[in-house]
Amino acid sequence: MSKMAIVTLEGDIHAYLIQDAMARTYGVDVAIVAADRIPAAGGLNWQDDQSEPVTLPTEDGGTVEVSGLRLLWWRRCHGRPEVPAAVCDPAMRELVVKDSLSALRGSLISAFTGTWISDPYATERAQNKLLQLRVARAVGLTVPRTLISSDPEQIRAFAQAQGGTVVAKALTGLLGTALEAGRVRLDSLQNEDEMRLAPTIYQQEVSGKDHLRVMVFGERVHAARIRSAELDWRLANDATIVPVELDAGLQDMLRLVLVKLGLRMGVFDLKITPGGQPVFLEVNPQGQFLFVEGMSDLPLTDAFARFAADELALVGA
Amino acid sequence: MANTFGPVAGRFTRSTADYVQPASLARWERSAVERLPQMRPPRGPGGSISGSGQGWDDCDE
Repeated sequence: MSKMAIVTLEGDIHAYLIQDAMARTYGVDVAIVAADRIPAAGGLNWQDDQSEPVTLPTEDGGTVEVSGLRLLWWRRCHGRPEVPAAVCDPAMRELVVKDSLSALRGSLISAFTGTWISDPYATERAQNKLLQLRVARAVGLTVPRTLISSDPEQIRAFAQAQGGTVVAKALTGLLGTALEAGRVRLDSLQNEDEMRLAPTIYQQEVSGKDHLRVMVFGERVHAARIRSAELDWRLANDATIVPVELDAGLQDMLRLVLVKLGLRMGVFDLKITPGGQPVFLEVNPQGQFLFVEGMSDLPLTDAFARFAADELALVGA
Repeated sequence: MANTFGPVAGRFTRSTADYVQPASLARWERSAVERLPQMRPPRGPGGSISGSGQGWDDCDE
């Protein structure tokens, strides 16, 4: 019986590699539940009197009993669930998706009694960039001067105060679209309808080429330096990655951010100023991290598996 | 119909046309796919950086 499950999207490389590492190293069977394949999969059962086990469909075509689970990696629960083409009505398709995700969440929040990595509500809350920046500053991390605004006058005044150029970023991601951070100059801030349309993050630019991707799994901190001249290193063709050790004070502050956000793990993005000062940019509660292993040999599959095994031990499994 | 304007942050939709996956990452992903029969090659540009078979997925939930 599976003691651990991963809720994610179909075809998730992180899930497969951790499932494999847990089986090979710790003899733990891990079930993968594809949140975007709940529609039409069958296999989901829940009863009010608990007379029958609560079950969820697994990606391999089987089912997993929620009562047997002691650890749940809550990795992804969004995506674009696949609804059979036979369901033509748009409202009905939307209902299939919403009811599938609601039943998945409900089955787990009502019946799972083990440890979450991380709690779904804490995860959702922690994704908010405004909250992240406040928490990071409160624990002593340096954060860039930041304005989140839809007020053209405020935006122009902020850009002026930052020397005429600021970095603009979206507050959220968009599945399937690579949104990047970009530079905005004061003289380009003319279209007031555009500025009013949606609040945007405007930030003081942190100069330099050195970025940090820091994986905090429980108490353990694993860091890599990404060197790229691009403002946004994702998909940069010049990016190189090497493992680095962070000083103890910075590690403690990152752990404290997770504590304050109620998370068991987090993937941080920081940038290093030319003077060597680390500056917090964001924390991804379930950020990608295995590409760092692929580009630097930092053994993150083993590190995460060890973390999961430690969490299982703590919960008595 | 194309939007005539969008949020300021929406200007920065990145093209992946010029992206070349680093050889070390491509090797690592190929090795994982060969070792684990249930795994398929990552489909999105950026592979395990972008994360999802549904495309760019750096966002969380």
